[in-house]
Amino acid sequence: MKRLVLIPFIGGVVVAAGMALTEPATSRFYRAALIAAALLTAGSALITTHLFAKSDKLFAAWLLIGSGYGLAAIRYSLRLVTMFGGPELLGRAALDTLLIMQNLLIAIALWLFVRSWRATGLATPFSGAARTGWTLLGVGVAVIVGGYPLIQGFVTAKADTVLLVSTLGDMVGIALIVPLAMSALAMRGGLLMHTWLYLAACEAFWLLYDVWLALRTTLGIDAPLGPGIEQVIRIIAILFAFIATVAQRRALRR
Amino acid sequence: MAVATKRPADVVREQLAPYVGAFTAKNAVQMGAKQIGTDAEHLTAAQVPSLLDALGPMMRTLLGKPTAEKVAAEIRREVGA
Repeated sequence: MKRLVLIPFIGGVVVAAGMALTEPATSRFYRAALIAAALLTAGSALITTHLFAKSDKLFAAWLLIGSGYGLAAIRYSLRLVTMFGGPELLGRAALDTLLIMQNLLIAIALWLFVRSWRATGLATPFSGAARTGWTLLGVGVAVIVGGYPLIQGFVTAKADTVLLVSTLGDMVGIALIVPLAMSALAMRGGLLMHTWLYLAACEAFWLLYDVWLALRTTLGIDAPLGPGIEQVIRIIAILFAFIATVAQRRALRR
Repeated sequence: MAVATKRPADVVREQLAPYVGAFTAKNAVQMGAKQIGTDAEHLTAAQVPSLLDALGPMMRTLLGKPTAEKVAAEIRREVGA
């Protein structure tokens, strides 16, 4: 089970090889890697739903994760088609809707994971004060990280519903890192710990992605390093969601 | 020579621990025992079905219905309930 954690980083190393290519091959390679990772994660999450009854709380959570990454794969694929000079199969509004749906589905799924743990009534190995403190810290980080692009968007008059919803989705995901990690810590020694831990790691890498985007612009890190690192972080984040699905299946099929 | 038999609470803990870890398994048994008006250390084999009913929502949430039923059946078999 622990070896699963190598998968996201191996994926990251593979994608880093894209930095050695030249345009337009680089962008196409990154896009193809994203599609593969999103498809893998979507398929694996949907397979995981079979381990649950339809009325189980985690059935809905895995279904939403699968649907969210499925939509991401569609969006990435449409972009790849245009990269090869193909037609724009969907208009801007439809693409924006896909992005909004993807962000909403994944944010709701993660919230369902946290809510499922809380519904069990089980305690975490922390005092109430420590739990509240860490949770507030997570929310604070989410507000800072999510607030930056939001304010930037408003200042530059680029703010729209898409930016608002995708940023809010990011903020919810980041704010849930702490509750997900706490549930994982409570289950330390158990197989299910890996699922929750990898989901928390997935969101932590999305947090890193947002931080990198801000840093990259501020520090002026250009191609190939800037976009290359951006894609590496993205792949690692998606593949952490993938290994969470695998960990869930392995735990329940032991 | 007397054969040491596992206490029912230990059986439940041991069955849950591989999934949720020792800390949560212990916590769950304590919580479930409290719900049925006893404590984990004094839990009898006859009380195990009630304990499993109390733990049902938690087990089903974390393990899913099919696995939760499999684990519950294994616990019943082991304690002879």
